[in-house]
Amino acid sequence: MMADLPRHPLQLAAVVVVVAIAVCWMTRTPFGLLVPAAAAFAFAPRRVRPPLLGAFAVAFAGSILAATLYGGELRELAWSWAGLFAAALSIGAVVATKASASPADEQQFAALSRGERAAKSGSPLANDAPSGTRRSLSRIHPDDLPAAEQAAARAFWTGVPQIMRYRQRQEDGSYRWTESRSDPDHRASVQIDELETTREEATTSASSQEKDADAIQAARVIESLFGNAWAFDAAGQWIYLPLFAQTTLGLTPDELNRSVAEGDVAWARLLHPDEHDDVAAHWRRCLATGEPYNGEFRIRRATGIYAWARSAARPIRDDQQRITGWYGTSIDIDVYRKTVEALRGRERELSQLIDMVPGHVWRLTAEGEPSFFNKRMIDFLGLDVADVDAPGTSRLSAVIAAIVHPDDAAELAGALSRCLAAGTAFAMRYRLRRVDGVYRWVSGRAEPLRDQDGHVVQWYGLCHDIDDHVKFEAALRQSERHLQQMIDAIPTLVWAATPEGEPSYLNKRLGEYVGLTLGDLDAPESTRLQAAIRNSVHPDDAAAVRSALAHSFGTGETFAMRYRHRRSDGSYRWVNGRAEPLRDQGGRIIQWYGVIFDIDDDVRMQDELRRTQERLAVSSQAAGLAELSASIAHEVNQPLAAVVANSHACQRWLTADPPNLERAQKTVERIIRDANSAADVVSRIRALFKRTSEAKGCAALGGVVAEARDLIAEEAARHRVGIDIDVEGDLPLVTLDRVQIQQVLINLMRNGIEAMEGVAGERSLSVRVRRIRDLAQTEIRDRGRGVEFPDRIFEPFFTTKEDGMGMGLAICRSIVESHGGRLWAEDNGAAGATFIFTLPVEAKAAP
Amino acid sequence: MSERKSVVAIVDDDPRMRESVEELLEAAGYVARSFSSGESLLVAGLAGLDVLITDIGMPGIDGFDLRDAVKRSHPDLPVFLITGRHEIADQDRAHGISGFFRKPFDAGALLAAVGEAINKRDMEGRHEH
Repeated sequence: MMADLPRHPLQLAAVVVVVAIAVCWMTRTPFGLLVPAAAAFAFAPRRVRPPLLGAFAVAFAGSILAATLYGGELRELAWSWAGLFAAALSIGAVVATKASASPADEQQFAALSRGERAAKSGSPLANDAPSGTRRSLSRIHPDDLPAAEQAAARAFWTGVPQIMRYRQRQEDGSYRWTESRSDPDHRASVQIDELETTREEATTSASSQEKDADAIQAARVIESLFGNAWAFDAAGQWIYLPLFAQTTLGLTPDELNRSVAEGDVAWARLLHPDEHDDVAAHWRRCLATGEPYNGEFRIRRATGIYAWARSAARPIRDDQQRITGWYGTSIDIDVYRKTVEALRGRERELSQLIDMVPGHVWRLTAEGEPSFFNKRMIDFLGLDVADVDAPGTSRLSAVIAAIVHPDDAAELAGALSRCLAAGTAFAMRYRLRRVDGVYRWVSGRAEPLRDQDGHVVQWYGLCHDIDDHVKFEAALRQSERHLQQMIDAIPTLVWAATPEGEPSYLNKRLGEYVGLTLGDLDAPESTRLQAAIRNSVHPDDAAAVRSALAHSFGTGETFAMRYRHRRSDGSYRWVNGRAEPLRDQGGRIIQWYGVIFDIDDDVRMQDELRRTQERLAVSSQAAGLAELSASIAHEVNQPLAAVVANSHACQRWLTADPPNLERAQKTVERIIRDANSAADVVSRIRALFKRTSEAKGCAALGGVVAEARDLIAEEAARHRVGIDIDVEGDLPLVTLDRVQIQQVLINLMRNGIEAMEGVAGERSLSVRVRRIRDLAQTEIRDRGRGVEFPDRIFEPFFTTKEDGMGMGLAICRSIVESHGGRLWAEDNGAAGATFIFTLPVEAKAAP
Repeated sequence: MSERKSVVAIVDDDPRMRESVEELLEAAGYVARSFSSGESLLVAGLAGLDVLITDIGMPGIDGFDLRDAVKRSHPDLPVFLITGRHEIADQDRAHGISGFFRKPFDAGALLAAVGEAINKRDMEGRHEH
């Protein structure tokens, strides 16, 4: 089928092409050239078709290009060539599509040569399809059937695919020659050459005589079984060799027997030179003695290839026990040999692999006895698995005692025996003794191999040297410990937090300072950060700290803040908190680091210092005032004393008898002079304290009150007094000297704060501003001790304070009055005092 | 009035004070002698003086020092101190001293004190004779 299909179209194509070219030449038109193009598409190998189509497409494009670029005759020529190539392209596309749609012959051939679709393609000898085989065998010509059956038998015994030709009956009853391949069902995983076994026609075998009939008969029986057999006469000459064998060997029995005439054995031409002598000697001995022959040797095929075969020959004896001939068979063992070799190669590879693995590979029996060490392990230990065997002790114990560090041996033995008993994987770090006596850390692991029933068959173990790793780890741990000690030793409170701000570390000092561990911060429904702030920050500062931290964690900005931190003894101490982020190369925050400095002593010292300074300032102010008033007194007293003395003298001169008017007159002049002098002193002092009215301006009283509150806020906080401001909305503007009114407000507020010093209960100062008719009235109400003398306290130098000058309220009243207002005090009874001052509001423009 | 007039010395660095006290003493019938400083008084000498009135706050020798110096040589000479600075009068060394006046002083009281001192002195002098 395969042979006659392609023949006719090819001849047809050749003829058609010749005719077309001839027509083309005679008519001088190029269109006849389409025929060779079509033939090329039809018969070229498939892979050639795309480039062929491509070439025509390029030629077509080139022609079009030429037609557009040139003129005249050249253009017409180009147009005609473009038409030609377009036609060739179309034909090519059609032919190629058709050819790939029905490639039956080509595919069948490919299937046969691959030997994988024998049954499907109608080939009859596929042993993997018994029913198909029977049906197919029935279609083989009876003359070819024995050969086909023997080919199948050979394939079975040898594993070598057999290719043969035979006649097969067609549907119409006629027979056609076909070729098939017979594969063994136990396919070898090695590469085996197929065997062409069929000759076109049978050749006659060597001439056989009557006496040879028994040997040949025996050979045929063997052949029917193994697909191959042969027979010798008593002298060792070939008397039977199957046709397939003659085909594969390329020799007839007569040709082989020539070796005997040349004094060699009949095998001689088939033997490999390396085996010739041994096989020949053995065969001669058998021929001489009649002992059965069994041997393995290579046999040369017609192709020149030697294939291994296992051959056996047995003598045939007559009634008198004389050897009349030999029969035997040769079974091709190339598959077996190659398989064995491949297995050995694979085993070698595996054992190399195991030896080359950069680790110690070992194996234990199901009972736990060491049964294998790989080469590296043997080299490392300097001993093999059985080297330490000793009577009275198990091999495992002996091995452990020999190779494991004494400190690790007991633990290892225990762990291993637990794993052996439970059938669980083993893993442990231990030290192994190297051949030079040095112990090295290894990481050992072992897992059981189980059979189908789940019983442990073997234990496979692997250990690798981790000594450098372990030492590196130890060095790291040491370094970490040093760092840890350092961080714990530095006299600072240190913490770390995740990028999200969750505390992840407190150094020892911080832990001791707050009396907490990280674990104490873990609470349901609250983050560690929340818990930390709740536990450790003063309630008055918590909100500010929380928002500052949230800001820093949100933006990555440095956190720096002063607040009160709770110590483990419950006391709150002023600290300076500071945190900065650590970023990776990409700028992403990977950790926050914070420090807390206890600055409580500093703060308290500064507070104390400030208070001292304030006291100093107050007393120096007082001293200054005292000095000033003394100076003023002296300046005034001097002329006053003169006036008094002169007045008295004058009186005496006038009352004298007679009155000394002249002296009296002189004295009066001096009195006038000195009284004027005293008045000058007073004027000078007035000028010194003169208040300028230019400073006055329109202002919102609420704003002035708020500024005063800000100015005194710190002092109020220090005295733990809350200030409550309530300013009526829609308050008209007031004409005032901002600084002076602030002085009044601060003075009154400070008096209120000081009045509550040492008073139990709520300390709060309320400042209320409201409009009453055309006055803005400001009330400063404290919860202090109240006032005993609401009227006298405004007199200059009246004071209820130990260190007071008694000028403050007098000045306040003077300021308020200079603004056209009034200042007075009211006692609230048990609840302190209220100081009230009024200021006239701006006169509204007349409607 | 035929008797010898008592002599009263006044020491003050303020000319208005000297003038007015001089006027007062003369109006009361004394002979007044003014000195602008303790030094000038000591240079002139204390002989013939019956009473000494001195300001306290003065440059150079102040009133206290002058009084001490005078008491050493003339323990019998009455000395009156006058000051314009009240805080000086409050000082410890001024406590318990008689004849101490604050400006502006009561002129009548001063004359009375001077007269009393002179009478006392005269009576003691008569006993000695």
